[in-house]
Amino acid sequence: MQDRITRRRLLKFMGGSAAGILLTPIPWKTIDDVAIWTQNWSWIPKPPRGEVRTKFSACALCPVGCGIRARCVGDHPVSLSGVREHPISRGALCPIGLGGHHLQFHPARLLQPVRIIHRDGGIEPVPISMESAVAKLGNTLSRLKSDKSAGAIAILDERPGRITSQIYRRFLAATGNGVYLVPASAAGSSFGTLQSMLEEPYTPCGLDLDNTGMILSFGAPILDGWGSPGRIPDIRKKRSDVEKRLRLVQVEACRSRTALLADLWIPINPGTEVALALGLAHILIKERLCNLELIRSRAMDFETSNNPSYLQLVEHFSPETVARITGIGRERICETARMAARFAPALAIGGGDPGGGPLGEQEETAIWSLNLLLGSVSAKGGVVPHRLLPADSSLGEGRLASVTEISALPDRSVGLLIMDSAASGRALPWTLIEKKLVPKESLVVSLSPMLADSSRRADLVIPAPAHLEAFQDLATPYDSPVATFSVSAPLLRKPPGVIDPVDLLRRLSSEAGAGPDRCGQAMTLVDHLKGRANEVFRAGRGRVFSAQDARWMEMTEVESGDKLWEQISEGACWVDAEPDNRPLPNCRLLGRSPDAFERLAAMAGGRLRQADRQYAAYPFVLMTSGWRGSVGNASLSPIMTKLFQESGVRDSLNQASINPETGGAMGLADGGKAIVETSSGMIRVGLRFDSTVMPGVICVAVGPLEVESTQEPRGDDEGILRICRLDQDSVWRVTPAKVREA
Amino acid sequence: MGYAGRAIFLAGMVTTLAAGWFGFPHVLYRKIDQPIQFSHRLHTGEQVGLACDGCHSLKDDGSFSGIPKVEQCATCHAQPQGATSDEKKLVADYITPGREIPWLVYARQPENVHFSHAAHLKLAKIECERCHGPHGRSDSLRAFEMDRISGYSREIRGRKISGIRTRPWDEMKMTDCARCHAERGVSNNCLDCHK
Repeated sequence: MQDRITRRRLLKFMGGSAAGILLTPIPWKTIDDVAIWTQNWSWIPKPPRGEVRTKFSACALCPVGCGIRARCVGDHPVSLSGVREHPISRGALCPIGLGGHHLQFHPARLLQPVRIIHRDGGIEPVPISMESAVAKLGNTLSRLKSDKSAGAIAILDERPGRITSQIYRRFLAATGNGVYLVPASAAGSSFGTLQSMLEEPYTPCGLDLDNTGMILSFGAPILDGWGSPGRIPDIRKKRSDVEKRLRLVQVEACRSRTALLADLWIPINPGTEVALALGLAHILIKERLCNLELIRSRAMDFETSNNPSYLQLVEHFSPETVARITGIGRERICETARMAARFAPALAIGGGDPGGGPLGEQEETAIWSLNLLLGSVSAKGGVVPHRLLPADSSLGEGRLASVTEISALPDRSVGLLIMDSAASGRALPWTLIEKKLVPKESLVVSLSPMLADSSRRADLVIPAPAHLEAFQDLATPYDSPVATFSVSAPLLRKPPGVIDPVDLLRRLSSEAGAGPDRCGQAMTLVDHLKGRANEVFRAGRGRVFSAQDARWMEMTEVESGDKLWEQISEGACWVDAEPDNRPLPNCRLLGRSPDAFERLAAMAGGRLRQADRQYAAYPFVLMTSGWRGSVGNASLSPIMTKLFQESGVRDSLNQASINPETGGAMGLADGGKAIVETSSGMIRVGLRFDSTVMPGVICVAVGPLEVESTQEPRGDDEGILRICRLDQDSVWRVTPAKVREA
Repeated sequence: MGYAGRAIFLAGMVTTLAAGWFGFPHVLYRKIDQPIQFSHRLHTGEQVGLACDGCHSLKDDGSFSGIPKVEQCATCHAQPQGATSDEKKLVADYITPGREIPWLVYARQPENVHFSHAAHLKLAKIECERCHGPHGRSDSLRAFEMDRISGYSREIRGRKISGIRTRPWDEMKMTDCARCHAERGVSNNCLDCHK
């Protein structure tokens, strides 16, 4: 062998090396480490190292206000959980709340104001300075104040009842041209219908669910994002023995999660709840299962000689008639009415699905009349009145704009619409908002911290702080039997390019000179919250729950209003004492409208009867559904996308379910695509066969929106709501539709 | 391929194998000396007689104290306890000025992992040695070895470059956590560790 390096020998050596390298850790370890390295790039946000501490706050992602226990490293929260024995949430926190601290990093997050250019069905966000944004808003405000014919100044508040809501109302009242708007879908607005049936004010109200014997839910997702997430499970756990346990009867067209877990699921033809409620009333009266003497003495229209009475109306709704309308068996209807009497106090609940929208005024009236018949209003285990939260005295002065439901506002009447940042977690179709605006001349300003949902429809977005970045006030939850006071205290640092809505109003007043002078009182939201804490302290009643040690304190143990504020800002919750029982005022079971009888009778045949002419052309019934906090202006933690994008636990936007027999007959394929068409347009949906969906019905999810799609400037993220039919009372939960293969 | 050709091929293979198994770890891991030396054996032995939780304790709220602060060292080391250079450095550089010792933590898990010592010590009653091996009986602190690519401590992905695990404390990877959880019939949900 000659000792010289030849090309061939070199290649052989290299070949050996190449073969050998595969038997070493070099390639495998390098690949492994590079994979880890990609997870640790410098631009991936990392919480700073620091001492591990526990902080407490309250969740402001929906109107409930659950207690939050935050595990913080340094000053940064790294995980959230529920607060043990918290009076509102009872230890629970929903999956959306668990990921609340991620929202600061949401891909749709805005860190400065943007002007939105709408072009070719898409949007182009253009960043602008806070000064420019405030100036543009201020100019429009000044113009509309001086020229009232150019349209009203409106603020849309999805979470009425907060201090911020009071400030909005005062601001609007002072403009002389202001309208304070709330959506009909606010869950607590169901109490508004009850109020309209009573002869005297009976607000605020709450629900004494701890003592309720049976809940008869007309489509409300009682076990899946209705009220406080921990309350019903806690009640069911505490009252587990057969005699005392809380019964749940779910009346719903589709077998939702609540229907699946209820004691009894009653499938009902879509939109026929009025007939069922009147049919149940028919049996209660006929079989004398309710206190007729009490009803006669309280209800002014129970049986009258002059006008059509409630008794006359329900006489038409025999079990046979109701069975024909609702598709529910006669015996089942009778048995349900008897159950409600046997397991008293029984409570009928409406409110609707977060994605399906409100039930409608007639449905709510029929449901509340059922509650009045059952004796569940102003009674233990039913609807109970509670006191108003002691108000901050500085807010007691000045006039307030009246509360207007958005559907009640005349079309084309709004010149400036400001949409508040706090989301209700419930859907609100843009088509409903859009028709209230003055065409082409209106300005829509969103205060949302995210560029998602309706903020994408706005002309200007002035971002408010995201969840847990600033103090947010919380109204008493609508299902609470007593008044409560807690705040969502900040756990995260607020970025410089955002502004609190209350500060924005102050700035409009002082800088742009556009707002009313009385709103520029140099008081921040925190000042108002402190003021309320002082008023609560002065009232001297109720108890304070300390989140740190799950301990109750009497108000006598609290030294001062400032101390109370200190505790509240550290996660404590004040709970009012139970008020003295207030007698139920006289009521009208048909409601106070002069044509109440006719309206109820007309709706009793079902909502689809009004669309008879279209019905032949649109043989399907389109129903929408959603999960509170994942639809509308609410945003989910990007990590939550696992629930619907990967695991399929939740349907994502425009995912449809249809009965396999119906789908098969239409030639549709499970897992395929379909076109849903209504009189308002058509949309492409993903299709899944589901035997729990009633034949002839197609259920489509309203949200959540896939996270990556929020980064794209799209114009169609409203999805299925765009083609839903809005009834006269702005209800969209049943729409005649046709379905075909895509 | 003739004899010479096979020999050259094998030589290439052996060279790479040697480089891969013995040279590569030296290139991959950067050795960083601890700020001062410390003998666990001395502190846990008869002379001092401390248990692990004498210094690495659980706080009242259940969180783990980690490495003790100099304040705790100062209870015994306010004055030098010997004549070693490390002892002098401890007192002069850290205890006297009240400056924390910038220890490099061998067992530090990455940011996306939530590990509760309380749950493992109190509920599962797992001994410290199960994960940390005989570290509590070591005479000196070995150099901290940082993976140049991933930035992780070598202890996490395993000291053995082969990845073969013979003792429970050889690695602290997710698979090791999952294995132990499976053995004990404990939940292996993602959110248990990745909050």
